[in-house]
Amino acid sequence: MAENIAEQMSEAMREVSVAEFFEKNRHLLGYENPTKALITVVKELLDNSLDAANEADMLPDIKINVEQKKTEVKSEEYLFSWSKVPGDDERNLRNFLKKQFNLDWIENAKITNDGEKIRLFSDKNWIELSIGRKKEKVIVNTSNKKTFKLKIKTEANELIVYQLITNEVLEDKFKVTIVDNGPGIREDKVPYAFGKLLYGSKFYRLRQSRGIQGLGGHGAVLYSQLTTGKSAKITTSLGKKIHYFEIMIDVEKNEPQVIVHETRDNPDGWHGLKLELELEGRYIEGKQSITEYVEQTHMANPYASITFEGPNGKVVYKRLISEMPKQPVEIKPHPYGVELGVLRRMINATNTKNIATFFAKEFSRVGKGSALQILKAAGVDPKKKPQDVLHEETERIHKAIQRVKLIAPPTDCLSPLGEKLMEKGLKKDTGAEFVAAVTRPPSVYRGNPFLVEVAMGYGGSIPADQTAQLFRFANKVPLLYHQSDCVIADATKEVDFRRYGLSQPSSSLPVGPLVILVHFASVWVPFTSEGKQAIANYPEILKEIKLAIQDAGRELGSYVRHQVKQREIRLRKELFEKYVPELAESLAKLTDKSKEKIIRDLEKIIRDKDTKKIAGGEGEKTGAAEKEVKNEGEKKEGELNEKGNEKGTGSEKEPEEAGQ
Amino acid sequence: MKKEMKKELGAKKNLRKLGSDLVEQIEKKQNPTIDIPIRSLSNVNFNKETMRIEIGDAVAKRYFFNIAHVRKFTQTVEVAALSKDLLDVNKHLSLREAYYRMKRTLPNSNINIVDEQEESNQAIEDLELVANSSREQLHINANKMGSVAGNVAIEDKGDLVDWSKLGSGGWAIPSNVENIKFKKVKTKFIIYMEKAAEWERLHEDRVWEKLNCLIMSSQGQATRGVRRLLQRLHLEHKLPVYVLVDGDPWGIYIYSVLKFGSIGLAHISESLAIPGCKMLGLTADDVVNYDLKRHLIKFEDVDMRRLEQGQEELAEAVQDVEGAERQGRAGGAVIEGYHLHL
Repeated sequence: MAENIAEQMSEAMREVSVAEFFEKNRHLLGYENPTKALITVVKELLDNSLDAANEADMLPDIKINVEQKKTEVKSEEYLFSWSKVPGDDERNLRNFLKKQFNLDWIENAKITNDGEKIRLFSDKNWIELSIGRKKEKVIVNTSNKKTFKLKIKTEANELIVYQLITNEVLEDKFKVTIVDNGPGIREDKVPYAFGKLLYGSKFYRLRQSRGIQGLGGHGAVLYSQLTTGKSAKITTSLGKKIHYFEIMIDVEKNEPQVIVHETRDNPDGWHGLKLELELEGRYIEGKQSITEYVEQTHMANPYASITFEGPNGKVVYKRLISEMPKQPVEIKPHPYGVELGVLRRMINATNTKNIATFFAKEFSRVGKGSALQILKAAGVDPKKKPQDVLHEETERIHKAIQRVKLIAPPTDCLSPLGEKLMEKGLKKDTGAEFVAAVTRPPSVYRGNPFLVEVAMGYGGSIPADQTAQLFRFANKVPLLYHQSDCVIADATKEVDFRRYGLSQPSSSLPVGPLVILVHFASVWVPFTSEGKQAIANYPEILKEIKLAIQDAGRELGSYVRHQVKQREIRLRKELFEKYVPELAESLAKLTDKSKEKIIRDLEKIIRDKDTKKIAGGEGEKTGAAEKEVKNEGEKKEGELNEKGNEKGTGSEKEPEEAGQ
Repeated sequence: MKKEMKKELGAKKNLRKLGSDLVEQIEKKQNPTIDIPIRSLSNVNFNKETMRIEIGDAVAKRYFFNIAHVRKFTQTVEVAALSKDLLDVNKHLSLREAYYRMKRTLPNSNINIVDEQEESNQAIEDLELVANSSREQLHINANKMGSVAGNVAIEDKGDLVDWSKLGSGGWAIPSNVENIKFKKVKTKFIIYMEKAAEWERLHEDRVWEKLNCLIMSSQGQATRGVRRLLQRLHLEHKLPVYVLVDGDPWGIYIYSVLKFGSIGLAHISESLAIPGCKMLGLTADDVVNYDLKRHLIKFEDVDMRRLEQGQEELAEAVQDVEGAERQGRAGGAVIEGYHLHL
C-alpha cells in the first residue's frame, strides 16, 4: 500500500522548467498586477538597454513607446425613414448631411423625394440620395463630386436608412516598443537572449550591473506571451545586416521558438536593438508610474537621452552630460561572501586540477598561502580533485573560510554616480535650490564590495509641507516599490534630521522641502526578492547609508540654518516695515515734519542697517531687563486685582490705582 | 488757572521735544530710542525728608528697531501724537476713548496697535514719565469714581456745586480735579473710607452733618482724582484726613498708598501723597476693645500672599528709614490671619 502511494507520488513528480515555474509565480518577477506588470516590462527593457550601452561604452539614446491598444466597434444607427423625407425625419437628414459635409446651404435647401431619389438643392448646389439596385444601400452624390454610401433596410414595409458608426474602445492591452542605439545582439544569440530564462550573460560573474539574474528581459517576453499569446518582435543589428525575429518561448521545455527570422539590408549602418511586445496591463500616472521610473532613471543616468511616449503624451529627458561613467571592472567573488550552494556549484564546474588551485584561481584575494590555510583549517587534502570533494567536506571548507583572515575584496569594480552628477540630476529633475551630495568610500559586506552615495536636495520647487521624498537606487536603477522593507528607508529614518534644521516625526522620514537620493552600488545587490525592489538590511550596509546621509546632512544643515536665519531677518524687516507708517504719522503730528520723508528715512535705516543688528535687536539686553521689571509689576497687579474682584469693587476701576 | 495753562504749555513742549528728538535720531540713521524711567520696586525709594515714595533715576531704553520693543514703542509715540492733538484743540479723552482711538489693525497684517485697554493705559503712563506731565495735563482722563458729601461748596467749570445738597448720591469725583475752585469750606476734617457701602451708610445717616466733616470713598484703592482732591483739601484748607479701612493687609495697604504714595505712581507722588493723614481703623486691638470676635473672616491663600508681599515691601521701607539692623523684625511669619471688615 505504502509502496503504491510512493509510486504514485513519484509518477506525479516531474521536472518543472524554470519558465513554467515563473509562469506560476509571476509575482516574484514583479508581474502580480496589470499596473505593475506594465511598469516592470518598461523597467526591464530600459535597464537592459542602459546596461548594453554601458558595456559597449556608447552614449545611450533610448526611445520608449507605450501605446494602448484599441478595437474598433461598428454599429448602425437609425438615420431616417425614406418616406418621411420631406416630413418628420427631414431634420435628421439635414443635420446628418451638414455634419458630414460641413456645408451651410443645406440648412435652407429645398428637398424633393420621388420615391427613388431624394434631392436637396440650393442655387447650383445639390445633394442626391438614390437607392441601390438591391435595396441594400443608398448612394449619396454631391455637386462637388463627393460620394459615399449608407445602409438601407426594409422594416415593416418601410425603407429605413442607417448610418454606420465606428467607435474606438480602449483595451487593457498595450504595445510596448523600445529602441536603443546600443551594440545590438548577434543573430545566433537572439533566440536565447530572449527565449530562454536564466540565459543571461551576467549570472556567474561579479560586476556592478543593473540586471543580474538574467530574468528581466525574458520575464517580459514570457509575460507578454502569457497574456496576449503574441510573439516578441525583435529587430537588431551590429551595424551590418538587420535581423528581424519573431520569437516565442516553449514554456515546458524552456526553449526559444523562432517563428520568423528575416534578414534585411541596413543602408544607414544602424546598430542597436528594437523590441516590441504586446501585453496586458494598466497605465497610470503619478506615484509608482512609468513616468516616475523613467524620470528617476534619468536622474541617476544623466548621460542617457530618454524619450518616453505614453498614452498621455511625450516626455523627452535630454542628455545632461556627454561623458560615460567609468566602466565597472569585473571581479572574482571574494570567499567571505560566497554561499554554500554557490561554492558547491563552483567546485563542480571548475576545470582546475586540485582544490587548492581552485581557490587561488576562482576567488579574489586568495593566494596559494591562504588557500592552504583554508583547506588546513577545514581538514581537506589540498591536492584533492575538486570534483572529488565530498558534500560534507564542502561544508567544512565553507565554515573554515570565515576563520581565515583575508584581505578585503578590491573596490575598483564599483561605478559610483559621483557627487557632481547627482547634484546636476537632482537640481534638474526636482527643481531643488541646494544639493548636498556625498559619495562614501567603498566598503564590504559578506565579501561583496559596495558603496553608498547620498544627495539631498532642498528648497526651490520642492513642496515644503510634505514628507521628504526618498529616491532609492540600486546600481543606478530606481526602486519604486516596497520602500518600507528597504534598508535605505530604515537607515534614513534612523538619522536625526532635526539636527539639520528639519522637522521629523519620531522614527519617520523628515518633513520639509527635501528630497533624498540614496544610491547603493555593489557587485551583488542583496535584494529581498526577485522583484528587485528592496535591499536587505545588513548591518554593514545600514551603517554606511546612515554615515552617508549624516555626511550630506551636515552640509545641508548649515545651509538650512542659514536659510532659516535669512527668513527670520526678512520677517523681522517686514514687521518693522508694517510699523513704519504708523510711527511716521505720529511723529509728523508731533513735529510738523513731512510724513513721507520720515517714512523714507526709516526705510533707509531698514535697508542699510546691518541685518544682524536689526534681527537681534540693538540693546536687546536693556529690552529684556525692561521686560523683566514689567513682569514683576504685572504680577503684583494681578494679585491685587484678584483681591479687588473678590471684594466686589467696581469693574470700572482704573487698573493702575487698583494695582499700586 | 494760570499755573494750569503753564503746565499744559509744558506738556505740549515736552511732546514736541519727544517728536523732534526721535526725528533727529532717524535722520542720523540711528535706531530711534525713548528713555523710559522704570516704574517698579527696584527704582522707587522712600524719601525720609518728604515722607513719600519717589521714583529713582533708572531708565529703560525702548528701541523702535527691536522685535521685543517695536509694538510698545509705536504705542508710546501714538499716544503722544493723540495727546498733542487733544492739547491743540483743547479737548479731553477718557482712557477708554483713547484706547478706542488707538486700536486698529496694521495694514496687511493681523497685528493691532493695541489689543487690550491695559496696553493703552500702560502707554499713557509711560508717556506721563517721558513727557514729564500727568495724564490730566495730557488731556486724558479716567472715569468718574468715588463720592463725596459734606459742607463744602466748589466751582467746577463755572457751575457752583454744594456738596451738602446733592441727595443720596453725593458728588461724583472726576478724574481731573485740578481746575476745581473751593468756594466755601466749613468742615473740620475728612474721613476717607475704603468701602463705598460704608459711605452710603454714613451718608444716609448724614454723619457729615453731625460731625461737620467730609466723607469720601472710591471703592477700595483710592483713585488719582480722589487722592488729589484729598491732598488739595488737606494742603489748601488744612483739613486733617482720617482713613477708615478694613483690618487686613489690603486695608493697611490702601492707607499706606494714601499716606506715602505707590510704586506705580511714584513719579507723581508729590501731587498725590498725604504724609499727614491718620489711620482711623480698623486695627487688631479693636477686636478686643469693642468685642468684635464674631466678625472675623479667616484669611485665604491670596490674603496670606498679600501679607507676605506687604512685609517684603515694608522691610525695604524700614531699611530705608531706619537702617538695616531692624530689617528682621518686619519679616515675622504669620500662621493665621483674619480680616476685620467695616
